[in-house]
Amino acid sequence: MGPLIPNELLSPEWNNVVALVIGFAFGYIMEASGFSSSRKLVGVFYGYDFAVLRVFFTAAIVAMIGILYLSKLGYVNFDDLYIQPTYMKSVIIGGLIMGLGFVVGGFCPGTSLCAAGIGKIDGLVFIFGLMLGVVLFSEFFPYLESTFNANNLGGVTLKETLGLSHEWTVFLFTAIGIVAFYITTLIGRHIRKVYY
Amino acid sequence: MKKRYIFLALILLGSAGGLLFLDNLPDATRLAPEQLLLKARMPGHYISSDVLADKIISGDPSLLLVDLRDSVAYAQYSLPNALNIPYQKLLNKDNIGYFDQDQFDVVLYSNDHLISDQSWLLLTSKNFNNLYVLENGLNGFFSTILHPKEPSPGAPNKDFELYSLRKASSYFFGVPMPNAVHNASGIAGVSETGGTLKTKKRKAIVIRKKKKKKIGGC
Amino acid sequence: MSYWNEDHKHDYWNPYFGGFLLGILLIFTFYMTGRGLGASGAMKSTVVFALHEIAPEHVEQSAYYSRFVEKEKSPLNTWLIFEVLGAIGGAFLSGALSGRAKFRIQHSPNISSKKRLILALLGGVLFGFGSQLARGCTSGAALSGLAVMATAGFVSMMAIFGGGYLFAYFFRKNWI
Repeated sequence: MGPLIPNELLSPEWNNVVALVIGFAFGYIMEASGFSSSRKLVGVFYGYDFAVLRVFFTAAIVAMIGILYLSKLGYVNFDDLYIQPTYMKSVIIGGLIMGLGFVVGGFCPGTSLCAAGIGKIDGLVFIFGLMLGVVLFSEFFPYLESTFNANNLGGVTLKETLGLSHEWTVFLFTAIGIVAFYITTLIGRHIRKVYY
Repeated sequence: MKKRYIFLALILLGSAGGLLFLDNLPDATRLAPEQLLLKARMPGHYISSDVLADKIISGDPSLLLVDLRDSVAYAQYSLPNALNIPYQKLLNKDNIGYFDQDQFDVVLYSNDHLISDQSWLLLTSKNFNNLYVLENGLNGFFSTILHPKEPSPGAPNKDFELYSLRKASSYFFGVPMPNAVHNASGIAGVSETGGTLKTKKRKAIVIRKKKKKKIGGC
Repeated sequence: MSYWNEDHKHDYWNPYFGGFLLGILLIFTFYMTGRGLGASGAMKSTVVFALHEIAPEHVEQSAYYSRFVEKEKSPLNTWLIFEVLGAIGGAFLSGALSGRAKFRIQHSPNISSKKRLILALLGGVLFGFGSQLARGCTSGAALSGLAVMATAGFVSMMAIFGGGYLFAYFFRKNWI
């Protein structure tokens, strides 16, 4: 029963090999979907290219459905999966800052790696900026600590927060995603196709 | 709108909807109640004082003794190499690894067999295997092995053989033989009172099927 | 051989196909390791490693860095570092096969290369700062969180994209 490595069904020595392989596929898929181009990425905020929304939502929907099927059919123990703790305040503030960083810089950390991978200097500079941001954060950490640790709800899912069962969460999210795909297609018809 | 996208959207929606109708598999980490009752009714999980004494003396490496009494009682006397896990702390995550494993036969005991019976039931319901209960507990062990009653003169020969066997094992556990009392002073670790057991409190090293702390991504 | 030439360098995968593969990869990642993908954690490890080499005392006294320093284990020997190295390699392969891999600065015709680099640096600083505050970035917190239906995943997804739409208007001249 998965997950394999934490349950020691696969020895931990494989950890880094698995990481390398998964990372390779991750980078390949992102680059091939056009995530190495900042102009394509930001398109989602200006309505001229919805690739981010489509890739992101499709991936989330497929992963949600798949993981829930695996857990229901007994291949994966859902309780063993890492569910990150929800710190409401810091997630919202941090998320808004990240959104700002997205429209300013045109990348997110994963996509900047792709851009740097195919030789884009702006991607490389963005990565350098990320590291600078980490340094900045930890230098100001004493002032941020109370925000950082506020509103800790623990590792909760929507089941605990909203009382929505996993099945309904997946179903509603899928439905919302499909509606979003449809609407963005309608918008996309009125905008000329540009390659970046 | 292209037809193939409608088709793909329906597949996604259909597989998401399918989840709503799929029941969860029974929890593999818990034993079904009827199976638990069946297991509890079978006397196979009891181990008698004689068998246990034999296993201890022969140094059975697969044996893991667990003393369920509190640490004060444990400090006063216990069986050799026993681990002390007070029954209140039975399911602590530090201790659960001793039961959730396949390499040892775990023998639970307390003073009588009431607490160990209940502990056995609790652990078995979590689907742990290789668990045993010492019949009649430490008290039983004391009265049969350490201080066996001499059979009445008219008793069958078998009883006398058993008596001498138990007497011999009591010597192993530190109770001096009646005819050895006068030269017992030379043997280290043998108590003059004859009631207390000198035990080496050594911790058994169990390779636990422990779960790694879940670690985060970003 | 006609596919692998310059004419097709702007042909990206169908986004739904890319998303489907990414979803399958995410399932596989959870099945193998019990957690999702990530990226910003690797930057943090790199920073911790670099500063630990330069100023070990500062790192060990810092309330934040010191959480990630373990004795006898380099901060670089983590799952995410290997994943990120793989990601760079994977991106390079895909880019090289389709003729996209070359050194260049990509920017809108309305702005200069210099301005683009300054904005990328600024955006990186903001994103790096935000990802530390929110305990994860788009892939680590939002995407992986969504996959296991974590509340934090939904909230961070909404916050990141909400923030993007909120501030998009002020930076429109840099992009369109």
